[in-house]
Amino acid sequence: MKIFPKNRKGTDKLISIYWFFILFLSAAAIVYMVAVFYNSPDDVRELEANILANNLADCISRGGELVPELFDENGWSDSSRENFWESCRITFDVEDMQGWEGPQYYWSVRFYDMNGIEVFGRFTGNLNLLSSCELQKEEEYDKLAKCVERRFYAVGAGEQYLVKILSVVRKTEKNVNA
Amino acid sequence: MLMPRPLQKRFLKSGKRGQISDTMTWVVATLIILAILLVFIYASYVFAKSKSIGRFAKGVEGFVNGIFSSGDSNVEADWIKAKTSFAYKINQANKVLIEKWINENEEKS
Repeated sequence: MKIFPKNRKGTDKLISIYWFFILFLSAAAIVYMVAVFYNSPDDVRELEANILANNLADCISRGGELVPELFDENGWSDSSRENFWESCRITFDVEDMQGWEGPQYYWSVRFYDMNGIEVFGRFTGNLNLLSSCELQKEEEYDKLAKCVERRFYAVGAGEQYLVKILSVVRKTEKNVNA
Repeated sequence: MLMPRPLQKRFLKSGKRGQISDTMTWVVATLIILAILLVFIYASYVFAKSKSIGRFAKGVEGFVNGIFSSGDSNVEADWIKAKTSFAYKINQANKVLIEKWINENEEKS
């Protein structure tokens, strides 16, 4: 009977303080976990490269046929040779908030005949980014540029073409945790 | 309990054994709670690192009887494939060759 005569109340208080401490600790940990998860940037480069490839494909081919304003029987039409990207409404302006040096994109579109021989094509952007595609053939690396290759078939001026679009986006600093 | 004998005797006489076991229970409980929280924090780091919304689900996809069947539910992924289907309506020659060439890329990615 005399084991807990006076200290019982104190022990209860101590335990409730302990429980509040644990409660706050758990709450703080949950807040921290949510903050960590949502503060880390979403890597949207692959998605961006896909959208770019889609836009380019849409500009080149409509309804399965190469757009006549851009192509003639010799390949590129005279007007598209000069301002292909402008006529596709594709610009290479990127925000310069990360102190990026050089373009953050690379795009190429190549046309092959049925024998797999490249007939014509063109590219633009940062050529250095191509090495990222080579390096990531076996394994993906977060810090390297993301490459998306899309292939489709199109008909133009009575000829059959296999079209290969390569779209590369870097923007690593904005999409990957340091 | 590593304690000198006389001290140990005095300690046991004072009836503090129960208090020690109580304290030990709370200490162990606290350590377990902390360990669980640390595991969850680490998991949130791992999940945050692997966050990517740019990946299309890779299912069984390719051309079956000239019609593109997509294994994923993402419509955007089929945007370019639809162009091939339209082109087949204009000219179907070399279809097997074309399908092989396109599927070659699908296998690669």
